[in-house]
Amino acid sequence: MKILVPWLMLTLGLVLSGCAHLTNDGETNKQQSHFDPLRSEIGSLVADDSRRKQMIKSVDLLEHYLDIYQATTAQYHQRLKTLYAEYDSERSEFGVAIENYETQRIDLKKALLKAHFELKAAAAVDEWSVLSEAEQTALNAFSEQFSGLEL
Amino acid sequence: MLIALFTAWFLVGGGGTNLFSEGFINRIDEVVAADRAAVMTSKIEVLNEKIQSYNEILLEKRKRNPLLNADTSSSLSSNDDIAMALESIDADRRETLNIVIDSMLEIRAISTRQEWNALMVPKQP
Repeated sequence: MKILVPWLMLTLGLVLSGCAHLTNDGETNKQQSHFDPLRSEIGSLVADDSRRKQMIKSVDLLEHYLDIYQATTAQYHQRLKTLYAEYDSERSEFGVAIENYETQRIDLKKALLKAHFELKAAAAVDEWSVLSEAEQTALNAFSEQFSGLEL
Repeated sequence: MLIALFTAWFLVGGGGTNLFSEGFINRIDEVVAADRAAVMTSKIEVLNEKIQSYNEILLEKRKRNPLLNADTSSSLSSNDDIAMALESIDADRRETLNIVIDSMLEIRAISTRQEWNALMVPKQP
C-alpha cells in the first residue's frame, strides 16, 4: 500500500495534467512539444477529418504515456538513491522498488506501443512514409531529454 | 526507436557510470579509514567495469539484431515483434540491475554508519 499510494498519486496527477492539453476534438493546445511537428504533418497530410482526429489523438496519447514514463523513471531513480543513502535500508526494499517499477514500465510499454500502432494503422502508406520520420524525430528529441535522468 | 528509449536509462550517459559521483569518490579517502577506503574504491571500479561491460553487450545486441536496430518506420510490422524484442533485453537488464544493487550494498557495508552519512551528505563549501 505504501508503494501504491505515491504511484497512484503520480499517475492521477499525470493523467489530469496530461488530459489538460486534450480538447474534445482530440486536438492539442500544449505549448512547445516535441510532437508538435508530427501533429502539423498530420494536419497537412491527412485530409479526412475523422482519421486526422484519430491520429492526433494517438499522438497525444503517445506523448502522454512518454511523460508518465519519464516521471515514473525519475521517481524510481530517486527512490533507489534514497534507499542507497540510508545506511539501514534492506536489500528487500530495493527488490520491491525494482519490481514495482518493472511492473509500471511494462504497462507503459504496452500502452506506448498500442498508441504507436494505432497511429500507424490509421495512416495510409504514403502518409506513413512521411509521418514515421516525424515520429522518429519527436522520439529522438524526447530520448535526448530523457537521457538527462540519472540513477 | 522505442527500443532505444526503453533501454537508454541504463546505458552510459543514462546513469550507468554515474552511480557514484566524482565528489563521492573523492570524499572516500577523506572520510573512510585508509585500509577500507582502498577496498571501497576498488569495488567501485569493479562495479563500474561490470556496468560498462553490460552496456557494451546491450549495444552489441541491439546492433546485431535487425529487429532491435530497426526504427518505427518500416521493419517492425507488429506490436508483438517489438514486445518480443524488448523482452529479450529485459531479462539481461534485470539480472544486471540486481548485480549492481548487490555490489552497491557491499560497497556501503564497507563503511561505518558515520562514514556513510558523511559520504552521502557532502560538506558545504
